[in-house]
Amino acid sequence: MSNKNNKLKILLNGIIKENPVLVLVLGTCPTLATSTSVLNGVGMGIAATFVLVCSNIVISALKKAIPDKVRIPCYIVLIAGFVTVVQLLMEAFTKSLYDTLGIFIPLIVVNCIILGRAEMFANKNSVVDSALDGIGMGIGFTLALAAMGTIREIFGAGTWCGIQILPSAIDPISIMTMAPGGFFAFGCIIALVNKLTKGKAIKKKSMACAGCPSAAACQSAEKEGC
Amino acid sequence: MKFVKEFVAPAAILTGICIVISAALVLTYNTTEPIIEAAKAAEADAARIEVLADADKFDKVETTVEGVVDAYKAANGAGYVITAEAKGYGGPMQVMVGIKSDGTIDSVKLMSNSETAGLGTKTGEPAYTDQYKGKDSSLNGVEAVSGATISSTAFKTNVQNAFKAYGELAGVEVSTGDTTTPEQAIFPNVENFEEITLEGAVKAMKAGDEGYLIVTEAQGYMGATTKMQVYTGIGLDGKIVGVALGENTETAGLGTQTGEAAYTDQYKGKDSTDGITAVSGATQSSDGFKKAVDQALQLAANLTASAPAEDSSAASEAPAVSGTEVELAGTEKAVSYEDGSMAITTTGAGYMGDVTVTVTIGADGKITAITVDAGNETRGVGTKTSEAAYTDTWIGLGAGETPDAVSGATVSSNAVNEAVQKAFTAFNASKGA
Repeated sequence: MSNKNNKLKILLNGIIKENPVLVLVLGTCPTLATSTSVLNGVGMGIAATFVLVCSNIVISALKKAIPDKVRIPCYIVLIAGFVTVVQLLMEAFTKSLYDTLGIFIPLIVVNCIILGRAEMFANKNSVVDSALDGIGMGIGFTLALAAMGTIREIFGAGTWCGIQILPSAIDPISIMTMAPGGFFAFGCIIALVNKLTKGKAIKKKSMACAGCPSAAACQSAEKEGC
Repeated sequence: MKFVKEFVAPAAILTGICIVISAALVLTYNTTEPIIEAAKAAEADAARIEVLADADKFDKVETTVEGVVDAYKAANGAGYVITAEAKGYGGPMQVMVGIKSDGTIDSVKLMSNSETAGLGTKTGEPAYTDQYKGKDSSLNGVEAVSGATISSTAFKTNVQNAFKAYGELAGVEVSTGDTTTPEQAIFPNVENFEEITLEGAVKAMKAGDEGYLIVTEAQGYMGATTKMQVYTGIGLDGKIVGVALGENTETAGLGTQTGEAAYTDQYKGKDSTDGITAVSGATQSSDGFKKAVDQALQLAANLTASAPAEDSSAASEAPAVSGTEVELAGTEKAVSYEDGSMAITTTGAGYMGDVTVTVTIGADGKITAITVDAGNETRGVGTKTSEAAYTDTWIGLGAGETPDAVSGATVSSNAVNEAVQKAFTAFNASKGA
């Protein structure tokens, strides 16, 4: 039973407590770029989730086989492979979304969320756990994109999922669909989540040195602590 | 063992992963490629159906016409869709043309281009492209976008090239009607246009042996961004053969009316612009046009020996009676008249080239009229031999009599003399004297 609870915990982790975009602040680039409309954001979220789950599963399955020395190149090759598969499938079956997302599809390869979770979770946990983590993180990413998209689309274009919400007489604040507006909305949502989790969202220790950018230069890395 | 673990294993694992991933990619690619290709083709077909509404799907066909990018034939026989490319204002400009099976245009569409946004790109807007609907290869009545002449011309050239390709593919004769240049419109029978230099003119050409075509420009409407170019065709007698409006940025539908027959026909046969009525509502453009024609007439006076109407002397008029052309050795042309006089055309070796002289010798053996074409001679020096001041001195002279040469243009004057004496020789020979 605690096992099941554990699994659920892992799944829900990525949605609020350790939301990759709003708490871990990973993958901000595609977030800002594709959240100009809800449909685009959700499309991106689903594509990234698919890649995340697949890569998490495979990396976890191979975690014993991949030597530490070459783990980054191996992860990248795997992730790139999955992204290319997704890209080809999207081009064939969801052409209009493919055209809209454009260059951000191949950029999923360097989406920090995917490489980050591979490092932080998949190479230390079982396949099932990694899969659940992937799903959770993916849902969190998608929800964050949807939230950003909602704010930016309603205020910036007056529509939601393409449906006119604001009366057309009101001029939308088009800066919301541009970079400055994106950052503003982003900051506001992060502040909101921080408030909701009472600022305890992320404990430094749980990130582990692998996920920290300055791990190479840090002296504490050897002692596995911050 | 350690060696294997340190070096071989990582490399082998990485290689293994790469191979597996590559296999997966190949599989996915092969599976999705036909779908992607079909979608692309359908998208392209849809774009083509935009310009040829009755078509369903297309087959690519080959064409050798220059300027054509690709050509597609509608599978159901509705017609052809041809894409042509020509140099526009900012770079290459592609236009897609849908030509129905009856040889008229269904629709046109501006494709890739680098034209000025808001100006040249207006050629892509319905206000311009709608003009083409239903037109045949002559493209009569298509007006350029005001202020975007070069873009409009390039667009039109593309449509004309598309028609050429259509002609080749459908096996029909295609008259690309409107490619007649203004000079051809004014002198329809002239095949040979020779460019000559003329100070003060934008361009000048000798129109075969019918006269001259002079292009001048003048400011038309105040709001126009460039001067208006006017083509004036002037016959050897100094009278206007025809006029045409060239490149201009006059107001479409108003100032551009100066280019239409209703206005330009007024000029035919005149030797001055007196009495020309301006286009109602386009005063400035009409004034500009008139000014340009005046300028052309002025400049023409330097070319043709006969001066403008104001100071023509009766002695220089060609005989009114009709004559019969005869063959005379040593002459270019000889016309014999009932009264015994002859008009003989001969040439003499001038300074830069040949000088052509047409001299009318009366039955008494004295010169009654003379015109000199010294177009090849040095401008302002040798060309003075074609001016009245010099040619008038020949009137009344007989064989062997020579007037004073033009000061500073001895060679040219000698050439005229040479030609005149040749004419006299021929004249005398024909009279059996």
